[in-house]
Amino acid sequence: MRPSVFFASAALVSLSLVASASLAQPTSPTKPPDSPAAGPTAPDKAPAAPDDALPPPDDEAVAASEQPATSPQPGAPGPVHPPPGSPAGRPPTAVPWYPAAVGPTAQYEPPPGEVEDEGPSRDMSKDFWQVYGGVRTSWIPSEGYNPFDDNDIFNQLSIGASRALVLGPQLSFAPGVMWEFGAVDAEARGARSELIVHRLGAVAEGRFHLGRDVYILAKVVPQAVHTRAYLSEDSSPAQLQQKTWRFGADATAGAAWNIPRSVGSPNVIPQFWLVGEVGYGWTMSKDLELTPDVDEDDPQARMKLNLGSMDLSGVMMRVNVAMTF
Amino acid sequence: MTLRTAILTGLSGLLLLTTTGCGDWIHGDRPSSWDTPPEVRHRIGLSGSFALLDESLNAVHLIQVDGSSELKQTRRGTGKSVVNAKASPDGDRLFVLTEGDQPRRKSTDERPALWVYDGTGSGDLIAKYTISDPLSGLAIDPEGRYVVVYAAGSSNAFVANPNELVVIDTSEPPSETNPLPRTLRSFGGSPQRLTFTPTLNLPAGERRLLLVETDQDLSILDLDHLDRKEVTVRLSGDYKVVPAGVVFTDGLPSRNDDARVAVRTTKENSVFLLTLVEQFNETADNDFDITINIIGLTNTPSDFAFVNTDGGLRLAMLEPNLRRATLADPDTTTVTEVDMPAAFGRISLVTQEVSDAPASGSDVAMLWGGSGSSTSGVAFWSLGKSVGQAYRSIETLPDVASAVGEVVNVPAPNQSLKLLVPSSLGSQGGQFHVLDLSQRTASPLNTKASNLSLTVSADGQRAWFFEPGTQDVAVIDLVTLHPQNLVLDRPIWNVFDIARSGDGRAMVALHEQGAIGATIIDAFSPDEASAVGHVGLLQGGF
Repeated sequence: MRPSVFFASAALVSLSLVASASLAQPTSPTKPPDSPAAGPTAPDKAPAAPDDALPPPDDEAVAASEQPATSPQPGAPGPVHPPPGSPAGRPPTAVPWYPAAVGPTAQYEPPPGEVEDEGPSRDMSKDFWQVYGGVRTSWIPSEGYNPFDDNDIFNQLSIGASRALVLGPQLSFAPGVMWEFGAVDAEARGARSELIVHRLGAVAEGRFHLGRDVYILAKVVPQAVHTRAYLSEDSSPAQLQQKTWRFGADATAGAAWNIPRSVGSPNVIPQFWLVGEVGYGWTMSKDLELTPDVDEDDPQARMKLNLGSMDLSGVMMRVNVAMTF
Repeated sequence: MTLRTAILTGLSGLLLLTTTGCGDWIHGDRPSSWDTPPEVRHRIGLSGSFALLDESLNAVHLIQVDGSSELKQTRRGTGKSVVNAKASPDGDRLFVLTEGDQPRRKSTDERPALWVYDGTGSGDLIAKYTISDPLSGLAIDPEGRYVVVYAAGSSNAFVANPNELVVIDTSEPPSETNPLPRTLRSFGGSPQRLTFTPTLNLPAGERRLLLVETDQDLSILDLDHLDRKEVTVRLSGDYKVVPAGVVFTDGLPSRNDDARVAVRTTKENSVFLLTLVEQFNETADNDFDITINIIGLTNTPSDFAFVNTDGGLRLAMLEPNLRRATLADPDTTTVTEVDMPAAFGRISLVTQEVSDAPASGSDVAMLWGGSGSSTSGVAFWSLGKSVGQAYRSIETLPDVASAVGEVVNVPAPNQSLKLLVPSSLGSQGGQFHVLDLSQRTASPLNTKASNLSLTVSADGQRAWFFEPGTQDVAVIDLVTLHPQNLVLDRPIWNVFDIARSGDGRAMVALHEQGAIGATIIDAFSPDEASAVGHVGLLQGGF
C-alpha cells in the first residue's frame, strides 16, 4: 500500500470528524432545557418540538390561554409579553408563560433578540446533496497483483458526490459519481514495481432511513478502471509498463450515521456523516503483459513480459466522511 | 443489541480497520518467491531447450523455443543447494546434483540427490536418485548411461570419505542398488578425474571400465560388475607421482588380450602401459588381470595417443619443447623417435575425417602446440609411413601462422571440419581458423575480440562466436564459411543453438541482467531485424 494515500485518506476522515464535531453547538433549539427554571423570559429555552410535534391548536386564543406554544408555528403569532409591573407579568411558576392574544388588533411582535431560527427548508435527513471522501480498502487475491504489493490489501482514496432524487417516506435513491485513486509499489524479485489505479464510477445508491440520523444503504458502482503497471526489470532495455482500461463494478451495502447531530449539534447546513460499507468489487481480468517504454516503431517494443492475468476483484470496504447540504 | 447499536459497532469496526491499515491476520501475504532475487550460476544448453537453475527458489526453468520464437517455459522444483549441473553428451537430459538439507534435523529434511530432467522439450523430471552423502563431483558417461558422483574439492562434512564413488545407472530406475556407493581402496589418494571407456573386448568378455585417476594412482572399476572390487595400480612407492591423463585402446579386433590403458603423469619421465590380460587367479576379485610396463622418455609427456602405424599398434607420445615424437611398441616397449618440424604438444587422431587416410588402416594424427605453447601451426602425421619413412610422414599446414590453443570438433555431417582457436587473442583481436581435414586447408577468420567464446551447433552447420559482456555475436556458416555479424541490443553472456519445438533451430543469446533476458534468432536465417527479445525469464509465475 502506498503510505501517502493511506495516511491522506485517514487524515481526511479524521479531520472531517473533528470539523463536524467543532460545528456542533451546545445550544440547540432541538435540545431539551437543562432545567425548567431557566428564567422567566427564556422562550428560547422552551422544550424543543419533537419531529412528531402535535399540530397547532385550531383556536390559538384558547391554546395560548391554557399553555404557551412550545415554539412558534409558521404564520402563528408569537408570545406577547405582559406589561411591566403587572401582576400578570409575574409568572406563577418557572414554566414559560405566554399571555393570550387579545384580538386581531393585538399584532404579534417578536421580542427583541428573539428571531425565529431558520432551519433547513428541506428534510435534511434524506433530501440532500452529498459529497464524501475517504478510503476504499480492497482485498485482492489475484496472483497478478503480487508483483506490486507484498500483501493483498490495496487502499485507494475515494471521492464522490450524489444527490437524493427520489424520496419516499423511508426510502430514497441517490445517483452520483465517484473517483477513486490508489497506488502501490514494491519489489518483484529485485525489480522495482508500481501499480496505479484510477476508478471512475457512476453511483446508484438506495437508502433506507432509520429515523433522522441513520440510514442504511445499498450501492452499485459500475466503473471504468484505468491501471498503469510499471516494472523496472534490468533485463529490459527500458522500464516495462502496461497502461490499460478495464470495466469494473462494485456492489456494497452499509450504513451512514450522522454522529454530530446524534450528539447534539444543531440541525444546520452542512451536516456530516460517517459512512461505512462493505461488499465486493469486481474488475475485468486482463493479462498483465508488460512492454518496454519505447517508441511503438522501435523493435524493442515487441518485447513483452507476461506475468499472468491480473484482476482487481475482491472483497472491499469503504469508510467515508460525507458532507450533506 | 438494537439495530442502531449494530450499525454503530459496524461503522466503528470499519473505521478501525481502515485507520490501522488492517491487521496482519487479513493481509494475505504474497508468496515469498517475489521477495527473492534470482540467483543463477548454471545456464545450460540442451538439445531442445535451455535450462536456467534459479537456486534462490530451488527451481529449474527449462525453456523451449517455438516456431515463432516465443518461449514455452517449464519450471520444476529441484533440490536445495545445487553443487553441480551438467547436460548429457547429446543434450537430451539435464543432471542436477544437490546437497539437500545439511545438516538434516527432521526426517522430512531433504537428502542429497541427483535430479534428471528431460532436455528435449518437455522439461519433465525423469528421475531422482537419492544419495546418502553430499558430494559435488559429477562425471558423465559419454554414452549417457552412467553418472558417477564423487567427492571433488573440499568437503564441509564433519567426516568425509574422499574415495567414495556413487555410481548411478540412469537407464534404470532408482532402487536399493541404484545408486550404488563404492569406496575405492585408497593408498592415500583421492579421485581427481574419471574416464569411461567404450566396450572393450577383454579375455572374459566385453566390458566397460571406469578409469579413476586419483592424485597418486589409478583405479579400474568394472562397470558391468559393480559388485566386484576395483583394481588399483600404484604408480610409485613414494606417492609423488600424480596422474595427468589416460588413454586406452581395444587393440586388434581379432584379439581379446591386447586392450591397453596408458597413464602419463606430471612428474615421471615415463608412461605406464597397462595391458588387460586373462585372469588366472581364481580367487581374484575380477576376471581380468593387469600387466604393467613402463616406457621411458626424456621428458614428462604432454600428450599421447594409441595409433595404428604401418608397423602395428603404437603409443605415440609428445614431449614439450622437443621437436620429436616417440612411438612405443606396446608389446615390446621398444621406441622409435620421429623428428618433427616443431615442438608440438598435442595430438589427436583424425583418420576418420581426412580423405586420404592410408588404405593400410594406419592412422592420421593432427598435431598442434596446445594451450600455453608458442608453437604455431598444425601438422598432419601420416602414420602409414612413420616407421619406415618417418621423414616423409609429416605435413605442416602453412596457412596457420598462430599458435593453436584448442581444437574444437564439429559434429556430423561436417565432422571433417575443425575450429582452431588460438592460444590467446591480443587486445586488438586475432585470427582463428576453420580447418578442413578433407582438403587440408585452414581458412582464416579475423576477429577483433580479445576474449572469444564459441558454440558449435549440434547439426554441424554453424558456429556462433561472441565475446561475453558485449553485444556482438557472429555466426559462421561452416559450409560456405560466410560470416554474418549481428549486434544485439543487450550484452550477451551465453549463446546456445537449440532445436525449436517444431522444425528448425534457434540461437538463444542470454542476457544476464536482472531476471535474465534472451534474444532469439533463427539459426538458419540469422537476422537482427527478425530477432525476438524476451525479458524477465525468471520473473513471476508463482
